[in-house]
Amino acid sequence: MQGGKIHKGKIRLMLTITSIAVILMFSVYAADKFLMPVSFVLLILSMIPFYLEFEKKELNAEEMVLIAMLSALAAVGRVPFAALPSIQPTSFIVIMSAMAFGKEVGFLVGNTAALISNIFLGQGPWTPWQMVSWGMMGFTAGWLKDVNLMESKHRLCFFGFVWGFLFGWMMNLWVLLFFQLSDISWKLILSSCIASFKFDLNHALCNVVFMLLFHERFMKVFSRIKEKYGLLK
Amino acid sequence: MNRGFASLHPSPCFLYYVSLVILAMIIYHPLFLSLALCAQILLNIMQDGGKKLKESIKYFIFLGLLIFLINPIISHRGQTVLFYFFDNPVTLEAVIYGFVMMMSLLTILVAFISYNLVITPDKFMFLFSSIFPKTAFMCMMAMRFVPVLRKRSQDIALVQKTRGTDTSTGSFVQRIKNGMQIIIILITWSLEEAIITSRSMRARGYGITKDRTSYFDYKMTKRDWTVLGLIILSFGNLLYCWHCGIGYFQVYPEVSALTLDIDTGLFLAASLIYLAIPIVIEGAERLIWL
Repeated sequence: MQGGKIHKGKIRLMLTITSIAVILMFSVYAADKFLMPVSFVLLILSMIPFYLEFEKKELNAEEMVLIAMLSALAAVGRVPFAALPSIQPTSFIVIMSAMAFGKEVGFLVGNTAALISNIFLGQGPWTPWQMVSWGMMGFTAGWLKDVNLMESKHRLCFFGFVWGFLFGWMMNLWVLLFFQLSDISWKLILSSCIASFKFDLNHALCNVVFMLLFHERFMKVFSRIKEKYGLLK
Repeated sequence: MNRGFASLHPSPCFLYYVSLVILAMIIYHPLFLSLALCAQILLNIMQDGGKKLKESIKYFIFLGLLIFLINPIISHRGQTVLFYFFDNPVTLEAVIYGFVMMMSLLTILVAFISYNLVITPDKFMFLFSSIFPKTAFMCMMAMRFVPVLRKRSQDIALVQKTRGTDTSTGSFVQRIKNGMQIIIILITWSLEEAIITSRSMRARGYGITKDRTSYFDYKMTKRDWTVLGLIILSFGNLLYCWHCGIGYFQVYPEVSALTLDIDTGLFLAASLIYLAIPIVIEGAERLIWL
């Protein structure tokens, strides 16, 4: 049984890698013309395995509502801060949910929070990019916790700091691709990262401040729900 | 809004916008892009009198001009040098590429406004739920929680204010602490509430049947099938043209002349048919009823 499962997982992984490789080969063939459409296809493909996994899982009503509620909380945290670029508790809530409930939940919360907050803030071509970025933020947080790399608070702060910048850089890529400038060079990417440095630093520092001040209280609230109702073990 | 193009089944509408964005990204022909932009603006005006378009048109024009101006400054590809700008060559090709990109971007942005009018979030969820039912259900629930949580956080803030926990006064750290106090209360309250909601769901039989039904039940009528077929045919036709290189407009390394031969004429006629689909649907309804 166990062996069969691993086998299936391997096949799925290989299929995913092959399809991504095929698309990358196509994009090389199409040279620098169709970066934007290819990037969309890749983004959507990268999210599908998570959804398939979620569809297959046997979840009870409590767990479904809990994930939806966490996503809504992360999304609502973003709305009142919309006027202040890159200052928001969403990243913090996404990381905390991943720490408490695991990597899959982390991905779903980040992903859904981006999707539904944009229903209120404005949907656009940036939505899939934010979905993947926040999703991966939650996923990596849960994954690093699983391999016991997130035990001390300093590491958590460092993680939040790094993702503040990573998130900004992924968004820069979106802007560069969307403007479809004919020469996307390393120099251009670097200059866009320098231009957005202030916003990324805000995001990173904001994550660190939240981690320092509220990490324990959040973990307490989340673990309480988890223990009390025995959810998402 | 439930008339004209929006009264169709969500799937032909969704397919139309997706295909339009794809075409605007891969076909660089300036005439095609101009036609597409005009058609989208006309569609917006027919749908809501251009109200939503007016709100953001300034911002769009600014973005478009930004690309139009930035590309020749950054990119020095191309063979026809127009003049030198701070010792950097500004080429005709880069200017034209900037123009084409501006038209493509404007078309996509204007199409998104019309998309938001036609494909409302519930229609999007309806489409999504046929592929990923659980995920769509979860998103739908999360969407419903957002207004609840906003209302709740206002209530909490009001009560906390009477206790002196205020987010508008005090030092920066104090304000963040007070704001987070509200968020933590909101989370504790909402997570408990979530459990109550799910218990009530369970009491009503959630998870007993495998196939969930949907509140919205859109059915494909004869009209929807016809429009869907028309969209697929005309979109496929344009893709085929693109594949064969008809309507191909070369920018780099040297810009090609805009010629109007039979191939280009047929290509433009095919694009007109494709672009006219929603406009004809809107217009026909107007002719019948107004």
